[in-house]
Amino acid sequence: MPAPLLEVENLTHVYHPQTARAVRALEDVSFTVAHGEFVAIIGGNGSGKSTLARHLNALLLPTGGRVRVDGLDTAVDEHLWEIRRRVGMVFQNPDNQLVTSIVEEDVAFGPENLGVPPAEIRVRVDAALAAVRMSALRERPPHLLSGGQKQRVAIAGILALRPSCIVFDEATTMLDPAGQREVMESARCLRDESGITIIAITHNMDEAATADRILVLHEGRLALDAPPRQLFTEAARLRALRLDLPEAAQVADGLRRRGVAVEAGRVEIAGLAEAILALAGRR
Amino acid sequence: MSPRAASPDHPEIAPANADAVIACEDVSHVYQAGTPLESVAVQGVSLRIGRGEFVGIVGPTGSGKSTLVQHFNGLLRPTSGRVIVAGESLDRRGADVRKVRRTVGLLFQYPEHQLFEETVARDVAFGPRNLGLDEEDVEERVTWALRLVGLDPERFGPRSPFSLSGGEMRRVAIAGVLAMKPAVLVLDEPTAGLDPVGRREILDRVQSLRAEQKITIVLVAHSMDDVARLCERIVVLHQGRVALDAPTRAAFSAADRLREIGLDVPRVSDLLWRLRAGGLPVRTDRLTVAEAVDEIARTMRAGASGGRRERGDA
Repeated sequence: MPAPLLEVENLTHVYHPQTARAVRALEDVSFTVAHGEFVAIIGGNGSGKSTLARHLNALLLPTGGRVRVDGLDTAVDEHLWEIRRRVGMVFQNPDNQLVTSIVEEDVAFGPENLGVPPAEIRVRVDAALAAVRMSALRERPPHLLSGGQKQRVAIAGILALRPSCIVFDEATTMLDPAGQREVMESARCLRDESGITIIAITHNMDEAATADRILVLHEGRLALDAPPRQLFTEAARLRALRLDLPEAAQVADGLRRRGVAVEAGRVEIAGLAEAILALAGRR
Repeated sequence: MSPRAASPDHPEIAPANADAVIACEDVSHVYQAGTPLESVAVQGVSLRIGRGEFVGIVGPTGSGKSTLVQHFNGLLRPTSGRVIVAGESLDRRGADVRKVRRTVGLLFQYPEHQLFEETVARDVAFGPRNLGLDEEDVEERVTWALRLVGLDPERFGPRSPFSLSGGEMRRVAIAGVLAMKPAVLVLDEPTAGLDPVGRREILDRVQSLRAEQKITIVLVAHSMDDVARLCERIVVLHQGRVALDAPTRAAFSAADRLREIGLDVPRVSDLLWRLRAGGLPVRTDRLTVAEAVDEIARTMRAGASGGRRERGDA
């Protein structure tokens, strides 16, 4: 079995350690993520999700424990740039991530900084913009783009660095439903077509339901680690963790209580509709 | 509050609309007009919001939602057209803007960024104190407002707002607006960035405010699911114009129309439409999870009783 891409071992993080303001944000968190996995991380406000995300590309370093990316320890200084190149991060606010006045220049910004030759940069920028379906808007000023388009440009900027993994830190929170869909579709497409590992931190249960696997954080600890179909059958447990079922799973749950035997774990509307129609003998 | 909605010089606000607390007539708003950066945010919007209504305003980013609602309490003035709030026409020189601000309380996006006092009680007291109320009245309003948002004044009043969870901070901000006793509460994306439980807490509070205090509520939202569940009327903005203004149930039972203008339908409606398209004769005007469960269970029972015996109902 190939080595995992991300290895998080007994990770603890304390903000302002050894002061009166010390806050333990993460406590003994361990998990691994394989190459090409699509993992959602969910949890209540203050559960440690963003702190965890920032350890995955060495924006934060562990107070205790260890994080490795492709075998590289994030606490070793010499690995820093290689780790940041391999793991890119898309943040919440689409207005804070673009730095130039033209879309394609923004995408070229990263590889230029790494000293990639111009001809190679051209190839990478073209490919990155095509991958997020933004080629047609390549000459636009970013401030004229929608939120979803800005986030896709941010993704393209990461792609131009040829990453192994992209971390979305609540990257859809400030977008409207259409923007949310654009960004998540781009993420899924990158995983399916280029094998890029996706980590999506989100409050949106419907978004999490589309991942291969969901990690649940609660008060800085890893509370659950399961595929969506399994996780989203435990309504009471999730609510205790400040979470909820996606709406499709809520309907399925209600129907089962009324004696309609919809199979457990239908977490998306399309799948639920099919299951109900099959049960009603319409398919 | 004056029951008079129309001022004498605007007779077209007819007696039929005499209870409109907010009236927009052909309102347009242009940012940076006459410069190369000119952008039209709101265009020709006419809208009346009656006392006691619960209206959802939805639309994609950039559709003009936030710009429009900032006209409701005089934060923005229309470039053209007229906004009349509680009888005050805001385009008129000498309009009583203070009265308008007392009538309409506006909660911005991410309002917890505007908390600044040392304690929750002081933060909520800020508005009423500025109204010039005496200390006893201020204190009474703080207690009242905190209770309304479900925060125990004894327990939360003395705490620092910055020691609270995201959902609690958001509720403190709402209490700060409520303490002004507005007749209309405008909430701009009140659940953005909150976890599912925090979201539910806020929306449940908004619903009970409506039920218990009869406050007029305008909810600006991205989420069709929230609007479907809570609001009686939905106003859809699209590129600065009103694309749809209808009772919620009617709007979502015409899902095709929403899709045409590029909008989402609530997930519950989406499910019912898929079932109907697949041959299960469900009604499509059900809006909440509980209603959908009822409708599907009922329809399946009716279908089953024709031929085979149905399973026991719990």
